[in-house]
Amino acid sequence: MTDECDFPRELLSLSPDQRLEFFKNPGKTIMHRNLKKAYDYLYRIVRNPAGASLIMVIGPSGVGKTTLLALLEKKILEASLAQMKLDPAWYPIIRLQAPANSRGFRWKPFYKKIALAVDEPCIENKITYDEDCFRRNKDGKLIIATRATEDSLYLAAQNICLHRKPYTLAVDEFEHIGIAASNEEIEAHMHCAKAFINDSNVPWTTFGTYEMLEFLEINDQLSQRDRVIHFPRYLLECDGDVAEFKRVVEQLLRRMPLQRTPRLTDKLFELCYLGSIGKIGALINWLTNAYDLCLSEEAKTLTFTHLEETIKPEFELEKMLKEAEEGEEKLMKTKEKRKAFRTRLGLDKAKKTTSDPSDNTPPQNAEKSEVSKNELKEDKSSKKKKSQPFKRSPKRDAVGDKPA
Amino acid sequence: MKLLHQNHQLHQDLVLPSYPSRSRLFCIKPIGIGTQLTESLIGFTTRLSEAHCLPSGVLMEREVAPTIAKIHGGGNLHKIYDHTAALNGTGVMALSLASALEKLSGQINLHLLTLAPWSELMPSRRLLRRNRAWCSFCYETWRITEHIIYEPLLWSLDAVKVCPLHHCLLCETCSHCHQKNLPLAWHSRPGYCSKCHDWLGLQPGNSVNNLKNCTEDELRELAWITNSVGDLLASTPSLPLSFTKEILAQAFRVHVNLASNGNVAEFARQLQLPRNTVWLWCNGKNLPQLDTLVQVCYRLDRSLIEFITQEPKQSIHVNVTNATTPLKSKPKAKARVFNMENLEQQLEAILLNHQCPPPPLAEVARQLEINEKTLFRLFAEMCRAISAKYDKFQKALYYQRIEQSREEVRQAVIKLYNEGLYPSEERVSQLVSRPGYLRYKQVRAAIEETKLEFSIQRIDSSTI
Repeated sequence: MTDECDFPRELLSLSPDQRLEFFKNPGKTIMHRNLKKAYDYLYRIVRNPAGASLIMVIGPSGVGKTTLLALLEKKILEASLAQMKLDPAWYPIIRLQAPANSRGFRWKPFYKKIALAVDEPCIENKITYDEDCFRRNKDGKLIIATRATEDSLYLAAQNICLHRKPYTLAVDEFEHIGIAASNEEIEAHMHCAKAFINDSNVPWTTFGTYEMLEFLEINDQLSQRDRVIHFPRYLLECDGDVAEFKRVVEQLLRRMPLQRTPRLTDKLFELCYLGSIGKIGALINWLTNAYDLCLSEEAKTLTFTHLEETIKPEFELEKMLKEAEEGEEKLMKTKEKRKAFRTRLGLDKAKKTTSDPSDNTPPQNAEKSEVSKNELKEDKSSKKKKSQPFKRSPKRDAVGDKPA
Repeated sequence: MKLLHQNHQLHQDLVLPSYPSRSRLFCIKPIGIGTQLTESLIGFTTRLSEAHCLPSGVLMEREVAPTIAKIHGGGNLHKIYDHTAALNGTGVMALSLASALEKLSGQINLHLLTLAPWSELMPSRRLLRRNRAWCSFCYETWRITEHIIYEPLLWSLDAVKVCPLHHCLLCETCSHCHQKNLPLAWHSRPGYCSKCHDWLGLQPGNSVNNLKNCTEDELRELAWITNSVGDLLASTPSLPLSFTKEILAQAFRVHVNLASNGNVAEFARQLQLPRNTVWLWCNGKNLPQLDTLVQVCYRLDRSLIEFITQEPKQSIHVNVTNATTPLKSKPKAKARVFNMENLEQQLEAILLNHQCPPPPLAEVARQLEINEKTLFRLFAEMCRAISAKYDKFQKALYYQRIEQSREEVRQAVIKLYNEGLYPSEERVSQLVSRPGYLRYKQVRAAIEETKLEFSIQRIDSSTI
């Protein structure tokens, strides 16, 4: 298998830049198991939200969330082509990135981005017919504010959602809402988001890192109608993950336009895992750098040296791992956590409780991807538990309490 | 094995599928097509701009005008304010706005919101109101029932005086600012005054019956007319494509046959209309105005749509008694006869009179109580002489004033010089009686001339 390569042979005679470009942007993405699972689940919820108004895709940075969003957008567009011909004003999905601002999250640029995403005319001239736009000068003459205010953009963005009727408003980098914000501010932001969703009647699909878990912790009101999709990295503890990660590494190596495709030894695999801590997006970025180095040296194949040269320093890897583990810790569901929780509720002796309807989804989901290992199944169900108000996992309490 | 199992989805393309381009504006549905209260195209435009949170003027200028791409007016509201009513009308303005909005919003058949489908039947004279009109009861009801606020096309017709639902007179004046609205203004918004932006619906305690001056007969007539025109608009979507002027002429001929055995003169007499007018209608040479046509229909007790499309089953007669207003209210003005000799003498007297200043022609025409253009047509030579005399005098006056100003400027410069001040233009302007005259070259030059005379230089100013 390693002899096969996944690139057009003629690339070898082209310039290094072109070869690198091919590796960077082959125009397709490797479909790996965690991505596929999150993708299938997400697509199903977006097409049929069943009461969910805020879908949160949470995963560590570099795991492939933006790729997931791109896939979602593509699939929704493909499925909507026929209807789009009939309804020329309909946007099946509105996609944007939450704006970042060093002084904290701002809603005005956010609304502006919604407007830009659908090519809305005259964004700078938006008005509301509210008092903030109309005032009278000292002679009683009516003055109309011509500049778009936050209120007018709010209204305009909402009208866009009402009239364009997308399945969802997909917001990438949603953790930006938490930039430089106190708990109160985050709560206020979440209320704003909720008000917008309620008024416009379009569910949001948000993509972000584990930082988004904080939003859920702060605002339990929001948890009523949210749906969390965990998009995890690959873990060494489970065999399925190892095999899948190996497959992806192999595939990536085969795609490098090189004289000789590197063989995936156990040693190489370990290094790859170490340098990416099991995140495919991070792996691809790193391999791109390594491949670039390899090309600049005009080497025949990718060697350990190339990888070692371009690997991130340990302290960075450690930080990445710490963040990922903390997030996983919160989202993973274990039997112990459940048991402790049941004790708290006083259900200790009771048999299996009547589960809420949303509990029906995880088994179906698990069915689809039989390969998934126990703890992956577990974390599917865990997010259902998380979304219950007043249900705080004891384990998480311990984490939060200690620093306090 | 797992690999093989998943092989068909190892890769996923990231290239987005190409999809048909999206409409630039929202695809808002027009309201009430096929009913008496069909939405008007102007109302649709204002609703569209409200949905986009834009003033109607901005939407028209930025989006519609480039789509219409006309040098004269088109979508530029500032150029077409006087004619905005025509955007609902029968002509090219309405059609080009409709097609521009169709292109932008992806909505279809917007011409049904105008009178364009009736262009063969309705001459544009006195067809549309110059001002926006509305029924405040309708607005209020829609607001309370959370119905969409919009403007029916019916309201913009001049022949329609009352609301078909509430049988009250349509308003043209805002009850808050007491101003009238243009049919489409920069800040038009459905349900609100475009001048003061206040709600136009009925205010509590404001429920005066604005029809109390009307008799019952008048009221019935107004309601009948409104209803009849409304039915006509309601039938717009089901209009036969081959609708032409000839159908109207045919309808007239059929009715003349049945009402007066084909005697056009008799028919005209019964309608109290000039016989020639009716004859021209019957021959399809002329078209009656909509208000006249509907009045005729009222006298025949046939609704507009019946009149045009259905042949009457039995004989009909003209019933003038139920009509409250005469069809032709304004008698033709008689040609005025002038006493030419007298006029000529008067003009001569004015010419020879060395009255100072000599009057302009407009003033002369006013004195003689005759239109200036008529006067010129009758006595072109003498009028020119009067105008020339006036011009000559004005010119002399102008030079005299310039000379005066120059002298004043001179004096001012000298005065400033004596006070040790630099004679800047501003200081001079404060001292002369006509500072505005400093705009003339000759007057301004007087400053420099005097400065030269006294050899005042700029350097002096720095020492002062």
